[in-house]
Amino acid sequence: MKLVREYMTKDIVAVCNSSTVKRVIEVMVLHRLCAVPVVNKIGEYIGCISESDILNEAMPTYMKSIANTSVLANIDLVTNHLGQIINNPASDFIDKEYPIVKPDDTLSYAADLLFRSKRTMLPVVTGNELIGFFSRLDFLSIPLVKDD
Amino acid sequence: MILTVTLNPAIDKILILRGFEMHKLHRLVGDEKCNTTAGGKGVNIALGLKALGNDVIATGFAGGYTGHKLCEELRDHDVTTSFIFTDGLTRTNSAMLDVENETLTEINDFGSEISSADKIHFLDNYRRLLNRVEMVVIAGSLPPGIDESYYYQLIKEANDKNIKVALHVSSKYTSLYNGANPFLINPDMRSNHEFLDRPLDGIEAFINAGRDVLIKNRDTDFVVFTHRLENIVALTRSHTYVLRPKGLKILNMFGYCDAYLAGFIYGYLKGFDTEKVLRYASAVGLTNVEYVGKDIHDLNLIDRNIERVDLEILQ
Repeated sequence: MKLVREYMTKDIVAVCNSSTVKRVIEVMVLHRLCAVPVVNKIGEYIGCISESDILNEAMPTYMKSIANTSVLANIDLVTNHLGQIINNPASDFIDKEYPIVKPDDTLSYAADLLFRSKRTMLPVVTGNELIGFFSRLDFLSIPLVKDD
Repeated sequence: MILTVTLNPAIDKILILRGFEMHKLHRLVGDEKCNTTAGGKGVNIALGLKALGNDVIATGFAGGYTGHKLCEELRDHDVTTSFIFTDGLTRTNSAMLDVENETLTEINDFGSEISSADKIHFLDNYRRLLNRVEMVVIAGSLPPGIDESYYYQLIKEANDKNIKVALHVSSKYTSLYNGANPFLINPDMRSNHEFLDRPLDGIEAFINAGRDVLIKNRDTDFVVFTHRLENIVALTRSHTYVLRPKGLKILNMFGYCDAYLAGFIYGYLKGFDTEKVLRYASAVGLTNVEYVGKDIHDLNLIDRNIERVDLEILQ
């Protein structure tokens, strides 16, 4: 049975809950990630912030009540809103219900969770300790892994 | 779990060739090689420790495509990464090993400037990582924008949490040898042959300097001078050792000290007695120099090479 620990990315990349939104975006850009795990001061995992968590906040209020996707948001309004929230604490945006997996979860469980939740990555957590993440790319790379 | 700190890591580009001549085009042919690997002292030690069987987290600064390449290679070797990514690029260091002329030429880049903000991000992350490790290895040069007081702070923060620190940095960082109190001191003297502001070479000089360091660093348990492979000098509070590998056939000095230190830490954490730790570390170093690569590649050969290490106790 294939387990998450065999295919996950062992990278402990996170922001602290006392960081700003600006730092969250910086980490996303520099690490090429669409979501960033959040830890507290002593390193315990507490949740995750995704691109959409920040983008949703930056969208003009009227967009949230319009179901018609052909209506476009005023880009100046979006960037203006982003500018207003950029120094807000990351703690305002943490999704504490963001799905996670454990290293000994099966790959099929993780893949199912990844696709059903429409996430790009899932933090891999043991107890309160973040040990890496399992991404769509990790899953897609499985057929590329060469047996020794 | 061991944490390795490499503030100025690199991508090592190693050319292994025959008969290089200046002012001529040299195309690689036949069994000549160009290897590109993750590098920097702490990174080499992380890879060595993992090869020996330790769990390792590698941290430091990285940036750009070379930074991602560095981290991917570490993870390919099952080392967990936790680097602070910066705007600059991770540097590329070049080395040329000419096996015909028996020369090794190395050119190390500066590395990118580290901003004040990134220094704080690193410290925050380092403090969190200290909660999950039993030993810290601090090794290698400092990038532009950081001075040796930063290393001093990293050692102090680990010491405050009773986490042992192994220090393998340039001997030019004098303040670190004057009271920083790491558990192990192994000065890197490749490009600076002075130690504590005096020229240093020969067994007697190493012993005197080692004693001096032990007086100035009351919590330091080991001082090891690996600068002369044929005479490795190690000092503890009670003994002085000289280790001499027999029948040495040096093929490559690249990464030798890093392999030695990985062997030392592995043996120490395994609970070996001091003599066995020192013999094992020398055997790892010896195995490394008789192999063309910088990686630890043959654990059985290391075990056999222990027999080739003479250990003399001077006191």
